[in-house]
Amino acid sequence: MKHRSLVIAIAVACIEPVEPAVAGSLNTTLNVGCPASAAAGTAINMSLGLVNNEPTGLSVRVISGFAGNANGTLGGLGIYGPQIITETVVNALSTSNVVVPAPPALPPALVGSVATYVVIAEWQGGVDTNIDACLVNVQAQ
Amino acid sequence: MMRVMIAAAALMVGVSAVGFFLATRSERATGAATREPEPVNPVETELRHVTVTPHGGDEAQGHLSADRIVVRRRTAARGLLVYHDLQEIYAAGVDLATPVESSEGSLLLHVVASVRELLPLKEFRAESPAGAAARPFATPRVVFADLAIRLTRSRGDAIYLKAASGRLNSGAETLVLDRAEISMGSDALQAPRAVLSDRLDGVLLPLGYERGAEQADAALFLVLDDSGRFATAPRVPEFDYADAVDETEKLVLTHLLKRAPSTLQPLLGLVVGGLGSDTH
Repeated sequence: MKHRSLVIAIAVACIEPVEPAVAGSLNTTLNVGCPASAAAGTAINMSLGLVNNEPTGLSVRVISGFAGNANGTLGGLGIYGPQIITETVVNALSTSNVVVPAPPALPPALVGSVATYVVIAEWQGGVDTNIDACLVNVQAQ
Repeated sequence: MMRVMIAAAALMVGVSAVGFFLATRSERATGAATREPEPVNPVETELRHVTVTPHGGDEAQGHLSADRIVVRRRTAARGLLVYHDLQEIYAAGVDLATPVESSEGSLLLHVVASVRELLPLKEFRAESPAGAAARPFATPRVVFADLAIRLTRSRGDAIYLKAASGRLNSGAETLVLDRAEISMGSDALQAPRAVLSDRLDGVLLPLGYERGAEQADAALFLVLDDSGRFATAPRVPEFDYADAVDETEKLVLTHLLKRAPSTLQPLLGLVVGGLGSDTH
C-alpha cells in the first residue's frame, strides 16, 4: 500500500544562550506569520511580531528550523536548520514587526509535502524563550 | 486560534507520520517494503584505527587514538528525526593523553580545552563570518564510547579519567562522562556521571560516587588542593551540563505537546521522552 506524502510535525531550532543583562522574568511575545505555500529552492518570507512588555530594551535572536519528509518517504523524516533569521533590539514597551526571509531554503526533496516551521526567539535579560509554528506547502519551482 | 488549529493539525499528521514511519521500518525488516527510504543517521565520513598527534608528531604534546571516528548527521528521538544541517562526531575506543600545565589551583579548568585541541573540531568552522553568523552551533557535539583520558603534568601524578560513554556538548565547553572512573596515584573513585567544563575549576559528580567502601548519592565537587591532590569542595556549584540542542528539542516538543489534542498526548509524550536519549 502506498502512502501519500505527509507532514511531519516536529521541527527543532537551537539557540546559544545569551548572557542575561537583566534579572527576573520577562513579558514578551512572538507572533509568526507564514505563507500558505512556497516554491522549493526559496526561503520563505516570514512575518515576525516581537512584543516587548518590559521597561527596558531587549536584544533578541530569532532562529528557525523546519521539518518534513524528504522524497515522499517517511524514512526521510528530517529537520532542516536551525539557522538564525535575525538579531535585533526591541525597544522598551514596544512591538517590532518585521518581514524577513527565513532560511534555510526549502529543499526540492520536500516538494509535495508540507514543511512545518518552528520559530524560536530568545530574549536577552532573564532569558525568555518563545516558540511559534506554521505550515507551508512546498511546491515545485 | 488559527495558529492553534494549524499546530494541532500538524501534530495529528505528525503523529500519523511517526506511526507510519515505524510501520515502514518494521516492513523493511521483514523485506516487505519495496522502496528504500533514506538511511537514518547517515554516515558521512568514517575512519578506523585513527592516531592524531599535534605539533608535528610530538607525543609529549598529547595524542589521540581511536578505534573508530565517524562524522554523521545528528539525530533525535532515538533516531527518528535526522538533522540535515547539524553534524556530530562519534568516537569509539578513544585513548587520549594530553599535558595540562597550569597553576595547580586551576588545572582542572583547562582539561576540556586540552581535550578539544586534539579533536578535529576545526574542520567544522564556518567558511565565512557570514556563514558563522547564520549558524547557531558552529561546533558539533562529540559522542564518545569507551573513553580513556590521561592528563599528564610536570608536578604530581597523572590524572586518569575513564568512561563507558560520554559527550563533549555542542559548543565544546563541557565534557560529560558516564560510568566514570577517576584516579590519581592510589586515589580512585567511580561515579555514575562526571562533568568537566571550561567554567568549572574541578570535577562535578552530580549523581554521587563510590570511593572504596565510601559511597554517596549526593552531588560532589572535586577540586585539587594546594598539594595537587583531590579534595572535596565545601560547596557544589550549580551547573547546567545539558546539551543545548537537547534542551531546545525538549522545549519545542513540550510546546507542541501542549497544543496537541489530549488523545494524542500520550503518544507524543513518548516522542518527547525519546528526545535526548541518543545523547550517550
